[in-house]
Amino acid sequence: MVGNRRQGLVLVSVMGLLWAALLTVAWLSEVFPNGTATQAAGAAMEGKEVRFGIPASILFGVSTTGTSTGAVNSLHDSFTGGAGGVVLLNMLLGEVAPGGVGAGLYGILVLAVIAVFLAGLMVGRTPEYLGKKLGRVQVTAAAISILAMPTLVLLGAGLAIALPSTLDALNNSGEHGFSEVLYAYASAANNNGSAFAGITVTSDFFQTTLGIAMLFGRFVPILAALALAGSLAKQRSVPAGAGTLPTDGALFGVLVGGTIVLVAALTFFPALALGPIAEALS
Amino acid sequence: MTTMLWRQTAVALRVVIAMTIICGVVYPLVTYGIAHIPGLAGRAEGSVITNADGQPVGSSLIGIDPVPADPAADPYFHTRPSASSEDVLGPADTSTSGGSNKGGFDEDLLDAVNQRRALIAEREGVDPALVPPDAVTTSASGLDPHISPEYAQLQVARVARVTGLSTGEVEQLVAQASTGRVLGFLGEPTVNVTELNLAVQEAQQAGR
Repeated sequence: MVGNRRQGLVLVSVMGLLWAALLTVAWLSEVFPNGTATQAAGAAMEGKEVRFGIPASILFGVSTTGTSTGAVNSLHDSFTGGAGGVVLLNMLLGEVAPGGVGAGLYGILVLAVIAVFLAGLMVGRTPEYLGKKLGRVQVTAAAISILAMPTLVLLGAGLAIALPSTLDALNNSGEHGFSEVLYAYASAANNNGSAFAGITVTSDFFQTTLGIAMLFGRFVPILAALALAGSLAKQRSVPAGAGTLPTDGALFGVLVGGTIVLVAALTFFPALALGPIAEALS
Repeated sequence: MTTMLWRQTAVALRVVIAMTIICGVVYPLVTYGIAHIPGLAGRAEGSVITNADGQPVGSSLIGIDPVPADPAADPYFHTRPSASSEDVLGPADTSTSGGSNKGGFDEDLLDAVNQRRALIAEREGVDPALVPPDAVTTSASGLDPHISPEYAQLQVARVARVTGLSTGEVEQLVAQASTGRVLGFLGEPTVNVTELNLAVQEAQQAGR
């Protein structure tokens, strides 16, 4: 549609590389497990079927959380700290590696807009992407789109942790228990459907807050993306000038990848450190 | 303005009706039809397996740990433990499917793993260190019909002794119930316990 295949190729490479990197981390974490019970068993086979084994379970886990299908072939709750953290992070990145079914393309396009905007800030020029100028309206829409989900996840998980009754809902204690709560809100707000299934979310509190997370986590980004698309469609294309950032090369790919990782890392690092990272390092 | 609204509503209604027919009627029928092409029908109906008399005796997709009449003379190959069983080993509660959802540092899980290791080593009369990982951990479904070739091999000696079959015969039955990796690289090699126990039973009856 843009008339330039390389533009799409860059975005696909970013998605693919992120997916491969996450898969590698998860696989290493599962093959060299650190849990006391896992080591006593000899391998991380708790919650996995023999016919899949560790590689196919991890492959499915990383792919399903990156595509918002919600299907699982092993229990994510029993994954090691590192692999559990990867499937969680995969959703917290906004499901862009390789991209949620129906929602992955606008997810990565919004992040590309943010990346162009950041590059524009660095050189002090009005940013443009695919021949369209990105002004205040466009950047506001993109920002709302990427901030809606983290707000819901962190507010929800924080609120849940503050309530004493949450302890009764958990199946695991310590860091892993916190991961269960974080995963519940990440999965709901990203419309994923997979779960750290040990947690019991039948209480009124969880039903209500997860429902709200699901509603706004899904529709606020969609509305923002539609607003962004609408405002861009109305604009006339401007020819690329000397100051235009080329968005079809490796440099831009690195920039988009960096934006994805930085946005998620800056937003979620404290929360992840309390849950999966602590478990992976213990 | 009103005419445009009316036109858009009419288009939307037509789309709803068309999609309801395509997704709600045509698609299920096509799926059902493909699933019942001869050769695939068995899978669509639950992979039921029958004994020599043609009686349905189980599904090759569901493994429920068999309980021997006399624990001292146990003629069965055992499945993996199930999170829904009452004790650390033993048959699953078939009304529910699911796993323990325990993390790797969980104390209860550690206890259960250690108990299972000791119980299985005692049952098979082997060193506890030889018990493979899949034998001491619960599956995702709680109804995993498969065990690893290592766990099957561990049980061969006891099954041969109790059933009176030779070790070679039992090993051959294990090989027949085994499946390699899909396309040579996907998944893991498995032994189907449900099919294997039936084969052992039939071989034992034929031998008498």
